[in-house]
Amino acid sequence: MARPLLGPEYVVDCGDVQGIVLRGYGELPVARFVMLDLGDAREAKSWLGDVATRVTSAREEPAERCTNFGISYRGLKKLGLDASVRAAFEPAFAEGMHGGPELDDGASPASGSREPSRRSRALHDLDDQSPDRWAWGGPSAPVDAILLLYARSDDAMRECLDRERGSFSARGIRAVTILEGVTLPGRKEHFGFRDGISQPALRNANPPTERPGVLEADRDENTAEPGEFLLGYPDAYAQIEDGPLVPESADPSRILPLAIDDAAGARSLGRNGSYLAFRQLEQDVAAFWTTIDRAANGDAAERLRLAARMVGRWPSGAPLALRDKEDDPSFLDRNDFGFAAEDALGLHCPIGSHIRRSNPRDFGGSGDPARALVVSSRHRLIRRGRPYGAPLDPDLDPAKILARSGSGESIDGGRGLQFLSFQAHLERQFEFVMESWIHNAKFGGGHDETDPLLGDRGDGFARFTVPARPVRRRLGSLPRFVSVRGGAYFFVPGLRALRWLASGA
Amino acid sequence: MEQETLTVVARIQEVDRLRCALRRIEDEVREARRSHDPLHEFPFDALEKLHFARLVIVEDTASAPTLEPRLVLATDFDGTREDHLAELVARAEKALDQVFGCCRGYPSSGSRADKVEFLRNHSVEPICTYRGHPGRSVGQIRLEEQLRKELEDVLDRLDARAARDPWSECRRQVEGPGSAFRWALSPAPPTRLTRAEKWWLRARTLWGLRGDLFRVLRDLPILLAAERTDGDAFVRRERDRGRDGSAMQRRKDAAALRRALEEREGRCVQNELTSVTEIRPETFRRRALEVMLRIANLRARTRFDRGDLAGIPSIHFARWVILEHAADEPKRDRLLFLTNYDGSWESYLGDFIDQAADRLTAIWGHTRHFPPTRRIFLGGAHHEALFKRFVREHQLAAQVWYAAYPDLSVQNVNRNSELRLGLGAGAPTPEERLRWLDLF
Repeated sequence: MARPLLGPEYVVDCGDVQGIVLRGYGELPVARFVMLDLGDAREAKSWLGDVATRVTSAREEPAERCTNFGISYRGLKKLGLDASVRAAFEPAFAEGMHGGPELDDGASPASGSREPSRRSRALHDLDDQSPDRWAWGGPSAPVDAILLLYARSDDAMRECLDRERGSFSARGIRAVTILEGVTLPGRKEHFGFRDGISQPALRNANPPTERPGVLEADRDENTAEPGEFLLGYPDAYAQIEDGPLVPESADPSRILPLAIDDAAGARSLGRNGSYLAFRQLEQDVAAFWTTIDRAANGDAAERLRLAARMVGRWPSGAPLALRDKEDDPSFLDRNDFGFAAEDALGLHCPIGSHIRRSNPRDFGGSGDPARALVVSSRHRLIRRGRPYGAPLDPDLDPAKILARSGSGESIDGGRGLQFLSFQAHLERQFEFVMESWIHNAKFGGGHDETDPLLGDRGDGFARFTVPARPVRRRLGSLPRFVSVRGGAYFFVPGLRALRWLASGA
Repeated sequence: MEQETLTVVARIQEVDRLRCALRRIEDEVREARRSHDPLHEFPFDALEKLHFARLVIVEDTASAPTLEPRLVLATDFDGTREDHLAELVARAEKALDQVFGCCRGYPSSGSRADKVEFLRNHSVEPICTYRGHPGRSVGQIRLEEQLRKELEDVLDRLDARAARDPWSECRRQVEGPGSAFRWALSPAPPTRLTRAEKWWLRARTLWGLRGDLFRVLRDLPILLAAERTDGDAFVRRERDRGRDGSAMQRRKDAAALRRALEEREGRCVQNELTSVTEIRPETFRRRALEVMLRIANLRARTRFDRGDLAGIPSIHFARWVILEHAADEPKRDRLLFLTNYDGSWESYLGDFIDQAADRLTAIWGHTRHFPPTRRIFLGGAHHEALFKRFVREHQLAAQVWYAAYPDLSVQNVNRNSELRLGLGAGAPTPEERLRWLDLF
């Protein structure tokens, strides 16, 4: 249960937090995400005990490779975690990203009927995007746990993967799928734009920030309370969400940290843990650039300008809010800007652009920038995404991408983004951003358009407005650029919680 | 045109039959949201002045209910209540017979006049109402949206010559021969009170409140003491709940309720929220609540009349109604809150907490099970998680909910009115024309 903050200042216990939550592991360019089915889970605990010895904390400087671990609600059930303990996890986590049948109380799952679940409606996983069609994570290919592996080289990854595979297959655990994560030049995603720039800084967390100078901890409005991303710390409302507690009797060897409210005589399974929203998003790079090229009548400069208007940043990462006319790599990774005073009409950075929708900063609501900033600060995400698949063009150059798309040569669809976001509240953070901002047709006073990159293109929602004077420009008939191939919610426990889960208790 | 509300409250006699009838109506309304077919069960769409309507069975959500279930019919409409009642009975007599026929005292076999009389006698005056787009009739809202779409098309088609002065081109199109939009050039009806009317309203309201205001101030020490004991009781109850093993059952009940509500939410741009809470029994509590709500009612007319309520830009209509107990029921009254809003529940509640937690606390702080408050305005809704849980636990899923323009947000409606106003303006300066074009 959440309580108002009573105690002293809290310092984040980085040695107990898994590394990926607080560090991006940017220095380890090769990643693999192993989605696991624990089988009948008889040996799952012994395997977990083995994994726990390798999991790296946020305090450790990454060496050759790093291993992190997350578990879904279904996985916790298989491990035999008591129902009364499980019940304290967030409902969205319990239902899973597909909103399906892992319920305890015998209520009929929404996915049995044709009706999309509440989760699917919030995330707009509807019709051809619905979880029944996912390659993994949907009702037909559920996932119990995830191994997040990061390595400095392909060789190191191969070694790491072999070792993990040996460890889990020997115990009857099966990989549902192994997803890759790569690093593209300039830390770009497949459309050709630098990604993962805006990240909140954590108050009272020390070490991390894997890219010094990128996290603008100096700008107070970008500094978030640790409780927004980790259970067991004060959040933006000065409450502490303990998450699941276990009675002291269930932890005889005192592995777990004490609950904040020690009067409850309980130990905390949640503390230092975080929820992970994982989505495999396939990007149709050819469709993206062909559509924009048509709208720009083949003009290369205009093409780039329009694409940047959709994203909100130039390919280098320079924000349109600061660099309106053309790309300027010296502005790369700049994140010290707002929209309310500088660009209320969206003449530089369109109101509906991807970066404004995913973090409106000081713009929105009734128009008071200070209040809007407070609202935005309640919905921040720590993003740890990695692209996957070979780029359509090694230089990510739109002209070459267009040449390839137009050449009639078949282009395989296997590229996109493994989207990962960490937060302490799935519903208030990740799902809110998706439902109320990204997919909200009324965002910023709009009428009938959704996110230009991620947007759902239902009837009449295939538009994007580029504000301009005297007259705005409306792009119409946009096709879908991004499709969901799979997804799941995981709990990424603290290291001590992980050891407790592996223990006999 | 003035927007009005109707809240009919009737005690239910045959709850099972009523639920069946309501389900039939709701199924059709939902289906029509997709198919746009006309409604037959309860022809809400035949009532041209109707903005929103809901039928909801109001009952206690607490574990030991003391209120006999009531059927509430709540509507938001244009014009006078008498006209609305007459139209309601004329157009939807069969449906009214079916639903109110399950309630005490309804003249099923009586004349239409008898039925109007029943509805009038069972209607309760809200203590506070808010309107997100005051004065706009349903017809005007729909027409102005059509106008916007037409103007968007004009702007999409501008040639080089017309692009030099797009405002004039829009105006030409609307004035032109065969235009269906000439009405847009006539001035829109006034939507807000004038300054003088506001001052008159302020004076009248405060004069009417003077006695109660004095008594609330007199009782302030008692109120502050009660706050502390009520807060302590809340904390104790939370502790006990953790210990006595009822926590699991409570979680299950809460999960089932949450799912029932979520199942209905997020299906179109707009959503409904119905909440029933028990007013604390002490006289000073009830009086403080009423004073707060009457002041809120005044502020809604004098200050928050431009589409946002205390910073929340997504409320079409909201009303607070005090539901009195009947003579044969325990002496407990309820606060009923009904609203029609845009977007998700999560974002609505977030706005509530981030923008207006003080005011919410000053209202719901006088109802039972509200998170502990301090100095009337503090604590309470500032406890985000506790407050959200409080709202969910006291929320009812309206059995029937109808919206006349489900795809328009409050901001859409208000901006469309601005478009129309700017187009009808005499001779705007170049700067004014630019600002008008920025509205698209």
